[in-house]
This record gives sequence, C-alpha cells and structure tokens, in this order.
Amino acid sequence: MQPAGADGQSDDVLMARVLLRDRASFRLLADRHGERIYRIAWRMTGNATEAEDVAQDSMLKLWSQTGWTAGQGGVGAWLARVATNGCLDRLRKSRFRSDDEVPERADDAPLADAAMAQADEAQHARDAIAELPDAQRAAIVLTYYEDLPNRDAADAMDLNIKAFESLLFRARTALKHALAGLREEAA
Amino acid sequence: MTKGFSEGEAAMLGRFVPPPLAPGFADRVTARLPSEGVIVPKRRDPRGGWRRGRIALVAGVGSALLSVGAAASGILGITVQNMPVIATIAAAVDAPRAKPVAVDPKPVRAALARPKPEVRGQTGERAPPPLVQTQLPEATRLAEQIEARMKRRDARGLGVPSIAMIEARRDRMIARGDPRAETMTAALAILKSREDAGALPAPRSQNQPKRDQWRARMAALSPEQRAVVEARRERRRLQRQEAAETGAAPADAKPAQSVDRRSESGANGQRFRQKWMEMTPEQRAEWRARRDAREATMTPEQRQQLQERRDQRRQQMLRGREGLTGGPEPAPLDTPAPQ
Repeated sequence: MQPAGADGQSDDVLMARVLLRDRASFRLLADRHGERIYRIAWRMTGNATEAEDVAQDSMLKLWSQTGWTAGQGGVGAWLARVATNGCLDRLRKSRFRSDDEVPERADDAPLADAAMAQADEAQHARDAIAELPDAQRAAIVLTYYEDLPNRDAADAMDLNIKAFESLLFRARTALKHALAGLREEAA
Repeated sequence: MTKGFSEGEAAMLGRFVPPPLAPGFADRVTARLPSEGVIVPKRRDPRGGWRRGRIALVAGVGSALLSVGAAASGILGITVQNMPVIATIAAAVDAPRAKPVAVDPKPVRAALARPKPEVRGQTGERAPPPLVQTQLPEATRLAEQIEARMKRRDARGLGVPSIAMIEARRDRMIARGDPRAETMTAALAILKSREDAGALPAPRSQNQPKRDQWRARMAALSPEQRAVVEARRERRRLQRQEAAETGAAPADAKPAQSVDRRSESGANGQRFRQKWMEMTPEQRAEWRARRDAREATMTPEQRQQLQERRDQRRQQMLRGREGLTGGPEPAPLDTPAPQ
C-alpha cells in the first residue's frame, strides 16, 4: 500500500480511479510524481525540455494502462522504471541522430566568487555524470539521487540484483575517477 | 547521502541539482490525455459463448446417437476384428522338432550288433560308417592297444589323450577316406564304455610334464633370471602373434620333422640371426661363453665335424647374401637357441 499523499488518498486508490478514466485522480498522481520523474530524466538527459517530455510520456503511459496490480512495486517505482527506460531510449536514438550535444545557454550575469565556485563544482559534477555510460548514469541517478534501494533500481533497469550491483560498483568507480580528474584540471 | 563517496565528492555531486520543473506540469500532462472514454478490457463476443456451447452440444449428441445406433444395429460386433495375439502366432508355428540324440551303445556288443542309421550332419560331412560284426575282433584289439598305451603314458607321467582327441583323430581318418576308420569307430565305442566304467586313466594334457618341469626350473631361478625369461617369453609371444597376423612363420617356430635337413638348417640359421640381432651385448657374451664351454668338452672328432658344418653354413650364407657384408656371427646348428 502506497503512502497517502497530502490529499489523503494513496497511489493505489488513485490508480484504481485512473483505470476508470478519472482525470482528476490522474492529475493528482502527476502532481505527486511528476517532479521526481522529471529529476530522473533531467539527470539522465541533462536537458530540461527533454526531461519534461520524458516525464509527460511516462505519465501518459500510466494513463494508457488497462490493468494494474499492487505487485508492481507501486506507482512511483513503475514511473521511475518507465522514465529510466524512456531516457535510455532517447539517449540511444540521439546518439544515432547526432553526436553534437545541445550547448547549455551561458549565463552572462556576473557572479560572485562563491557563486562562481559553486557553479564550477556543479559543472564538474554534471560533466562527470555526463561522461558515464548511460546505464551507469542511470544506476547513479536512481540509487544516489533518488534513494531507490538497489533491488528497486535493478527492477527499474530490468536487471537482476547481481548485475545491477556490479554495474553500480563500476559506475561509482568511474565517477570517482572522473571527479578526481576534473578537480585536478580545475586546480 | 554519501553512499560510497567521500564528503568532498558528495558535496560536489550535491551541486548537480536540476532546475525546478515548470509549474503546471500536471495540467499540461492532463491536457495531453486523449479524450476517450473508459478503457475496459475487450469483452468476448456476446454470441461466442453460446456458439461454442452449441457446437459442443451438437457434437456430444451426435456422437451419442451414433454410438447407440451402432450398438443397436450390431455393426460393432462385425467391425471389431480379432487382433492377432502372441498365442495365435505361436500356435501357427510348428513345434520344434527334437534333434536326433546320439546315444552311446551300452552294452557294447548290443550297440555293435545294431548298426546306427547313417546321419548326415548339417555341414554335410560324412557320418561314421556302421559297424559290422566282422570288425569286432579288430576293434577290440585296437581298443585294447589304445587303452594299454594310455595307461603306459599315465604311468610314465606323460600326457594321456582324451576320448575327444581320439574321436577327432577318427574324424580325420574318415575325412581322408582311411579304411581303418570303421575299426576306429568300433574301438572308440569300446573305449567310451571303458571310460564310463572308470577303467581308463584320466586324460591329461600332452604338455603337462613339460609344464611341470618348466615350472620347477622357473621356481629355481632368481627373480632377475625369472624376469629375463618372462621378457623373452613375452617377446616370443609377440613375434608369434605378429607372424600370425602377417601370415609369415614365426621366427622361433619349430620346423616339422619331415622338413629337409638343408632347408631346416637354413630356417634355423635365419631364426638365429634374427634372435642374434635382438640380443643385448651381455646376452651375446653369455652365449659365446656357453658355446666355448661346450666346445671345450667335445672330442677332436666332434670339433672337426662342427667346424666343417660351420664352414658349410658360412659358405651358404655368403652365397645367400649375394655380396652383402656384415651381419651377426653364425651359430652352430647343433647348439640350442640362446636362453
């Protein structure tokens, strides 16, 4: 049973209503989980527009569900899985489409030293995560940023727990190396 | 939040914060929802259930009607055929006929007076001829001779032939058309009756005395000497086996008694040359020492004869080689093979 939201209704109840095509319940679910799947998508794609597209597509897939069982790990886990796979698909397609990355728009506003340092660190972290392979990046995003247990993250990525733990170990190691290298470059 | 990262790394990763989601996300998603009604699982064809049920009902009723009709008309009794079973098949096969059993005549005189019918074996070989009364004295005498010989050999510790061996000999006589085969057959019948009465000595292998002597000699040897003998036996066995496979005569095969002396000496020389080639230097030295010791005990005449035979053999060998040189030292013919 999923925890009840601020409106006092659990995800399962809302999902049952969604199956009956209740738009209000769907809106409540989107309001409750939209932010999370957007974060996952943004950290995976590095693009806010694309992240929102992924989040909306994930919610629409939830709407198109005709059956739902409580054994699927809850609406949140299901949406995380759909969003992760959607991001991986998009990254795979974009790699075939073009190797050029969409440059982030530069912020021309003058920054104080502290703000500049924070921005540099954020950029370093972003670059380090962006350098990871897609699957390793997804493992880091789900477990580190979204606090998903390894088993749930493995389910979200359609991996068994051993394979996921191996993937996560490699992701952490690669991320540490990348962060250390960026620090040395910055120094 | 560190989760496997150091504090510095965690702090750096903590800077990786996404921009806030634009407000109104839920409204935007809801606006994209298709304007369709309630999605319900696809229902079955409303008439499908009745249709399937009707088919099953018709099939069941039809099969029942057919069964009842067939049973009432008695057609099942006609169509059902008796299946061939094992008993039927076995009954159709003729019972095996008993093979004719050859019963030894007991007592002997009754058997001799009533000649056996001629029976041809499956191989078509000739059956023993029937006995006649006139052969009886000769057969009795022959049987007595054979029995006396068997007892004599038994007393001397030599091999004693079995009845089967005598029968084989009789069969060979029949095969080559020997007229004494009839007498031998009658004698064989007498011998069989004597064997049944326990009057004949137990058959013993012809080579048993030699085997006993050989075992005694082997037991007297040291383990090293025994190993040498065993190795030599194994080598001879392999040679015989190889010769049997290739069809050639074995190197150590004993020549037949009727072989001409010259060819026998040539074969012996050939065999000894082969053995000589296989001997180790120690064995050759041992053989030479034995030869010298033997010649030392010879009389001058014997030594002269031996020398002449050596010269003859050497000349034969030189002629046989046709210009080839070298080879092992020839051995005298009257010397046994090296042990």
